[in-house]
Amino acid sequence: MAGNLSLLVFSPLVFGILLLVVRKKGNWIGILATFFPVIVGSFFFHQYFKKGIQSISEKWPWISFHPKGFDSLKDPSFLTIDYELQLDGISLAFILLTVLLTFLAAILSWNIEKHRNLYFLLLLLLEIGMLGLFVAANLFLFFIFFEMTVVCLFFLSGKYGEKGKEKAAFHLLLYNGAGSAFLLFAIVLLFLQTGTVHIEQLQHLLHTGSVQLNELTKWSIVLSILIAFGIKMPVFPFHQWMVLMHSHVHPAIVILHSGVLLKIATYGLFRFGIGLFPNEWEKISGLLLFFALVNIFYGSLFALRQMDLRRVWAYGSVAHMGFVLLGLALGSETGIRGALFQSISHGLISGLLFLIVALILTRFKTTDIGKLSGLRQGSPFAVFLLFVGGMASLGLPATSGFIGEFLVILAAFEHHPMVGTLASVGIVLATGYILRAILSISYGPLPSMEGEKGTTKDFYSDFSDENKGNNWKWNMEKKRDPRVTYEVYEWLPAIVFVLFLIGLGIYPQWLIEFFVGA
Amino acid sequence: MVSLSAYLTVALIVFCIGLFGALSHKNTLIVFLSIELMLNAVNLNFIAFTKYGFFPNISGQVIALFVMTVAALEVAIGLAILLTLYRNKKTIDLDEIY
Amino acid sequence: MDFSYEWHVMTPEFSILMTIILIGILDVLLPKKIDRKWFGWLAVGGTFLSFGLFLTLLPLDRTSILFDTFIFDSFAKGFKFILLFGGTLLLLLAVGSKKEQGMEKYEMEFYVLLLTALFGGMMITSSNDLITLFIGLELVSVSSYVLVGMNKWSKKTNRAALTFLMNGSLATAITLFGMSYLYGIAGTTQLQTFLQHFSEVSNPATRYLYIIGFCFLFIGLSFKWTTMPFSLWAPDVYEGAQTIVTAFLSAFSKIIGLIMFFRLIFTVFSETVLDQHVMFSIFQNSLLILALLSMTFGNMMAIGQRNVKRLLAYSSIAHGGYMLAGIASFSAHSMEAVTYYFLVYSLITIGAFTIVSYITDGNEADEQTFTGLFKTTPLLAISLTIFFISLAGLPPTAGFIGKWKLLISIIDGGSPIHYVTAIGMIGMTIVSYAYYFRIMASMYFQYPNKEEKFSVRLPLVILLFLCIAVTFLIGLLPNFGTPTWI
Repeated sequence: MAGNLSLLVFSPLVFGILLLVVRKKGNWIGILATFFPVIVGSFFFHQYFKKGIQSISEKWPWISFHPKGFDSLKDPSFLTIDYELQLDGISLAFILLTVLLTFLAAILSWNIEKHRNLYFLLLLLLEIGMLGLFVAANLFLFFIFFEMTVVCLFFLSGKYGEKGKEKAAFHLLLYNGAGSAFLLFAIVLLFLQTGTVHIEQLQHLLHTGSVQLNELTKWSIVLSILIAFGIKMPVFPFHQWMVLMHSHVHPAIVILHSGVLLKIATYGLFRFGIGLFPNEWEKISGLLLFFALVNIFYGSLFALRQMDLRRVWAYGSVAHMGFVLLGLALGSETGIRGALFQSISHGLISGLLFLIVALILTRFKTTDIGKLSGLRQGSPFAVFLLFVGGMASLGLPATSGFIGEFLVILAAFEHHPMVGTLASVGIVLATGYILRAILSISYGPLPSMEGEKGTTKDFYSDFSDENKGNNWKWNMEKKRDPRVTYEVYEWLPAIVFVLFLIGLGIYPQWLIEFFVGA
Repeated sequence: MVSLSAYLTVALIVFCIGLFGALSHKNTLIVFLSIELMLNAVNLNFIAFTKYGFFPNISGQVIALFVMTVAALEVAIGLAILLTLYRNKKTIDLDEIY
Repeated sequence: MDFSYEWHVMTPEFSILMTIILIGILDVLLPKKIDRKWFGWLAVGGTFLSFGLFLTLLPLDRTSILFDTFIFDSFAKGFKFILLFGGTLLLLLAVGSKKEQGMEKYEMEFYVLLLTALFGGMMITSSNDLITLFIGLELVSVSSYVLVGMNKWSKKTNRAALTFLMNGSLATAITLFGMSYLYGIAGTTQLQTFLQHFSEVSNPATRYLYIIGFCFLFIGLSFKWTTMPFSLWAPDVYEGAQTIVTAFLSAFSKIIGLIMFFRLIFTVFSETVLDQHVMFSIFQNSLLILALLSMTFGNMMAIGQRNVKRLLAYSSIAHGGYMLAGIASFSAHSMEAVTYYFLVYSLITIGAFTIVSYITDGNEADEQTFTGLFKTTPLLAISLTIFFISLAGLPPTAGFIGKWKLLISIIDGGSPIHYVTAIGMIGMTIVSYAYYFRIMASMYFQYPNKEEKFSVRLPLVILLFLCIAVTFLIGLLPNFGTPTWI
């Protein structure tokens, strides 16, 4: 079994290496390379459920930080860091989300032209980072993979997107850098106080009280972790970078960013916040509930007055992450399960929503709600997707969005009925902004297509780059109306998303089983 | 007999004069002279300690010899650099070389 | 008295010295028309020989010769390794340089001076005596003055050399003044005897002499490793010198200063007890504050720079601050952490300056030159990215492990000022992202001004490969970076 988890983490590189050698057909290799992790992921899924293996782990000795004159015979594991990976149900859920979304994002990036091999290579490195941090069994490895995702995402978002992408990339880098600084401080403090960074050992040491941290240290660690993941989530005052990312960067990257990278915060808060410091978490839960409600209302209200579809989805994400924080802050079993479920389901929902953004952008060159109208006549398929995504997003029963928010609100009513009521109001607001966006796009007269035949540049290829493989032009030559017809790389991921959203809505137990250990 | 503190005071004063000169003068040659003054203060210190220190011994005088050599070395290189600068700029004033 | 010394522990130094003399004599004797190009390879060969001899000495225990003035202990082993490695890389950089980098006029001088500096540095790491420490330091300083001023036709270089020389001699004088007080208290130049004598003197007045001496020593030495309070010369000199020499200054000259300070602290100051006080603890807080100041100053100033050499100069002030913090924390981890950081820092800064010197002809290094580098020469762009990521302390490079080790050693100090320093250090690395990533952004996200591909030569490839391979090797397997013999 040894080495299996490493195979999972580094599986994107198995075919990804080809990108360094083969110059042509980068998109085929990229899709192949992201498909391989899907296979490996399903293999683990099979092992986990069919064989009933509850946790798979891997360990290699790695680094020792013994000070000079340290007696290593007495306690050899003190101040050592091993290469430890561990997979349990919750990790597996996030892993499956990651491999699926990366695969679909790679398909959607089919007609990236600019430095295509670099793009897919960065995408694969990003995937390694994401997979790694979900299976990391110690904080050190978690941090390494965490930083890896930030750096890869910086290059991806700064290079692929439209005007303003570089600003978005720098916001991402500095906000996340600040977050990781807090995380690093917390990790070093914990490491020095306890002599280990292994999560289970830490849990054991902290819960049994064999390591007593003084109040100051404890609270500075807890607050550092909260701030670190609060920025990632993002919690209200730190959300600006995420809105910029959503509205300026290539939709395929946003699918990953909104779908998986924001969920690192859920995972981190669950593992390191609740997992390591349950007592402190309980003491601070009031504050967290407040921030969660602020997020829900702030996000929903701002989403109501955005004119850019992408910004509507971005603020919608802020609101949805508020529900996740709400569930985590409650700390009860239902709340946590709801939060985790909501994370996964929101990953899929925002995947679908930004896929729609990609479809609209390639066809109409804009996501401005004021300019778009009448899609119902022109692109019925896009409207169908919009309705499915929107309904799932506002939590209509029989979609996965319902289950997550329902569980969270249920948990809220158990202990804090007032919070539950307020959160329900938040759902009503969600209905408002989602319907406003969908309806104004779908109905009304069909806009004239911008640009003349064959001259309009494809959104995907960069504006200033030479523009060889123009999908738009190709469509024109075949005399098909591009507003109605869809390419395989567009409808295939869309169908997958729709199936998952409805499937999880009808049979949520399938996903909840992952969280049994929680 | 002159006490140790007298030597140290004199050395300190010389050192401070040198430091002041090095920091305030604009003529490069004067700056070099001031640095020489500082190094001589150092020598005075070393030699005073050789005789009146807590553990009097000879190695201080050895250091003083080395310091003299190094001072000569630094000035030699300094003058060489100054000469190349003068060829290019026709000035040795620190304000004008920028 | 037994005069049969174990001379073999000095063979690495001897082989460097022999190479210096050989190159000097050959340059005088050989007819003018013979190309001096291969002197570089001779110098590389001499360094390799020295490296090989050094490796054979590794199994030795602590050995001391020449009445305890020259010792070969774990400290010397660790830092000699770094110096020889860095020296080899610098020589490779010079050998592989293009015509535009302005090396061909000074073949012999450059190699001789560089090797002299290397020799001086190796003497410092091994010396156990104030006199040899001082002479080693002067060897390095004087050769670097000449190196900086080597391109004597450029006014900018002249100016840089003069600034460097005047600051340097001022610093030397201040250092010596501090040393004279320390000598006065201890009455010896031997570092071990220093320690004994310090503790024997019970006169309270000596305490003040000691403090003054230490302060002067520190201020003078801080010139060498460019931290506060003696760091303002760095940007001008780095900018004015030829980029190859800048690489030498930032990696080599800086580290030699720190090694000397570290040696003094390691053997003398940390152990001295006067009036029941460990003397070092008096200075510890102020040193940490100075470290904090220089990282803040360096990083803040670097953000606004458009000239990459000035930018890297300020960043080197910041890195000096990190290392100083690691030394000043003086916990059980600092020795290992600082050694590791030295190794990593010298590697990546040499690598970064290699590329800067390669793509910027002569002295100018405007940020514009880097625009669209990924499009024209991906190899250089990717290498520079790795070095910058490592300088910024991001995983999975060695820079991150270095930062982590320094943090451990700082926080292990345990007092509030240590925590503040650690937080400041982490915060400042985030600030440093802003400028490192700005250059990377212009390399990757923008289009080149002129479509000009840089041809890459073999020695450059070897150098870059060495730097990157070691950066990743000790970044992924850090136990390699701190072998048991350190």
